[in-house]
Amino acid sequence: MLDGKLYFSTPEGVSLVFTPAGPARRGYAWLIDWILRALIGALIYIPLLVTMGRAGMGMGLVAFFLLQWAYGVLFEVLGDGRTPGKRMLGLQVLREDGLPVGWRESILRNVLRAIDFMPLCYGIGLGAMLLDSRFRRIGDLVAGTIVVYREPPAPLPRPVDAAPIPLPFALSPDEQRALVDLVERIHAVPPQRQLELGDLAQPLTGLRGEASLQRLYGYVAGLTGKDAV
Amino acid sequence: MAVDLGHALLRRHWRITYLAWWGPWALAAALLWLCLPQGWLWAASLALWWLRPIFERLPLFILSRAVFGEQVSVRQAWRAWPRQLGGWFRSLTWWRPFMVGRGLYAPIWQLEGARGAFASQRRKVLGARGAYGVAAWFGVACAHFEMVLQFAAYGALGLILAQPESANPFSFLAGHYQDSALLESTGLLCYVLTAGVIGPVYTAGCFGLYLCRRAELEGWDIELTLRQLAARRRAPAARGVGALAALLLGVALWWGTPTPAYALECAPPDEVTELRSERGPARDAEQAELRQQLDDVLSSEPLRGWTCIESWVPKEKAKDEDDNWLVEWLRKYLRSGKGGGGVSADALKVTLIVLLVLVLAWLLWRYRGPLASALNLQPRRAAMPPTEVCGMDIRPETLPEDVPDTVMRQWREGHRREALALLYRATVSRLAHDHGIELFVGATEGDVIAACQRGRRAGRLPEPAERGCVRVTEIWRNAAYARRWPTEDELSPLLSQWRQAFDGARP
Repeated sequence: MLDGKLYFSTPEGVSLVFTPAGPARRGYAWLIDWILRALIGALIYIPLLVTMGRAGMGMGLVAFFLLQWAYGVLFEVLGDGRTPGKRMLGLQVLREDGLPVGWRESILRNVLRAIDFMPLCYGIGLGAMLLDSRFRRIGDLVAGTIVVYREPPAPLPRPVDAAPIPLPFALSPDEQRALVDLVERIHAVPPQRQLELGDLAQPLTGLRGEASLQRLYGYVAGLTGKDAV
Repeated sequence: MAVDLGHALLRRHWRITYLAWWGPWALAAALLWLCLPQGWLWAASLALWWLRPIFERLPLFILSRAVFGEQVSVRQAWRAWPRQLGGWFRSLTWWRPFMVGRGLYAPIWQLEGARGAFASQRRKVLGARGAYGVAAWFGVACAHFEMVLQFAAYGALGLILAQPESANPFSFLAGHYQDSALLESTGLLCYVLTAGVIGPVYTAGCFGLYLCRRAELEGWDIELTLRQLAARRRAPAARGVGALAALLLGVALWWGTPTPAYALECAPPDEVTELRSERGPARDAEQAELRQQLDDVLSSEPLRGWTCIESWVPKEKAKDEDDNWLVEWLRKYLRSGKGGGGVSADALKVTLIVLLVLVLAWLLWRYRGPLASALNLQPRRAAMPPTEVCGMDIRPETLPEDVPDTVMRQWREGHRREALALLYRATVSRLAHDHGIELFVGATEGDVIAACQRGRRAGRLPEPAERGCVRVTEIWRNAAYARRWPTEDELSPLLSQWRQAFDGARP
């Protein structure tokens, strides 16, 4: 199956799913961070320059240095793996095994930004991201980190309001999952199309249209373990 | 996320997709490069950009077949290409080449074959709920990726082609070469390379978005599952497997015109002007003209005694005039050596260097363990097998000399449980100590079997030993947990097999 997701299971048997984020989304996040950094830099630099002249310029350059190198590290380690740009776009840096990112990884991946930037404007980083199956740039590869989507928890599907009916014949786990999926998503589909899907399920239900759909609801109620009313 | 899914699809079929794209793409680029006169190569880039909707139909064709598990070969894709070009005129005119999110709508025109009012209705439906916005942003991002890669290519070329004295990647871009022919060809090459890399990525991303949209709107994936289910009911097994030919990637070579020797112009150095000025005034016009000619000849590149080199020279420092409190303070406390009073800057420098050396030494000492193992200075010791697995003592010295005999004796004496326990314990002990199977204290019977299978795959465990382990485990489990005892007829061949598998190699 091709769904671009990473599955981890903890020793307690909890399975975690992460989706690595592609270069486009990460590019937008980087741009937002860059603009923010430039703004903060200007806000620090200009007053220093005006009040203290050349000494202020030196201190401003120190501030720029810190902004360049410490910004990512501090936000990632103290801010749950998310710089402001990543926060806005729903991204998060994690270790490859799904644990939160620590000082060591964050510093490594941010220092190696310099390599990714080579030869000009993230040429190497982009190339690495396009080639890697988990969209990791060189810094991620060395530090052992991934950037994933941080999804808001999906709302629980509404329980199916139907009396459970046993399946007419055995279905494979994938087919069962597709049936449950159908019933959870069918309200987003226009009514005509709902009837069409009901017709398509005829080999399973032996009925057509709305009646077929109702019977599917019954099957799914049985599959999801709803108690008989 | 749907865009990334398209990318994953592309990665799975990258070989065919890129090969199919690059065939006509490289051909068109080479033709344009050969046909267009010098100074018009920008038009080649423009034409290629304009024709991209047509090239995008190739990866779309391949990927749309790949979604259904149908492997298309490159040759098939090329052969099908002309038939996929329906509506090419419309896709090259009107606003479509400029539409950044056109990739989302391309499947409507190409795969669904929709035209006219129906097509625009489909576009409206598919592009609703921000889907077109996502596609457009993705198009913008792809355009930027192309630019990034072009900059990178320029930078790399600049680093390689620049003269050693000015190895600055920007100088190439800044027209330092002033060789328009080289610069133009390079521009076209960079465009062809980067658009050839990003083009399929864009198409695949938009196709992923299209699929996601259709799944959302029509339950398209559910329909597929239902149809497969129906097909499964009708005909249990009829599935063809397409064979894929191995293909070699031809790399188009590019050769540029050789770099002409370009002489930098600069004023003659002071010595030369001094030498010239030492000459007396010319006697007449003829001599002045002669001198002028001589100077000109001597100033030409091969004859003159100097070369022009461009290099970075620090600017002369302006006098530090401003005095604020920080500078004052620094001056006061960091007075350099001779002034006396305060700390000398030199002393501070020495202190900092010593501190740095100390920190480095401390770091080396602190991480001596990981460093040594990283450099392979210390050989990794193989972990000792545990003394106990499954609550059984597996040290070899606790086992009797001849295990099968002891087992048989205990069995005949009626101590059936003890006999089988000894057999299982001996098996695990042999696995851990003789065959180096890694076990841990809390391992269950299933873990032991899994470890055996891993060892067998890694070639550390011979096949009879694995078979013996599986068989012994089965008998032990049945006896220990279900009180189903083996008959003696089953046990005695097992014991002789065991002797062969585990004690055969023993001295």
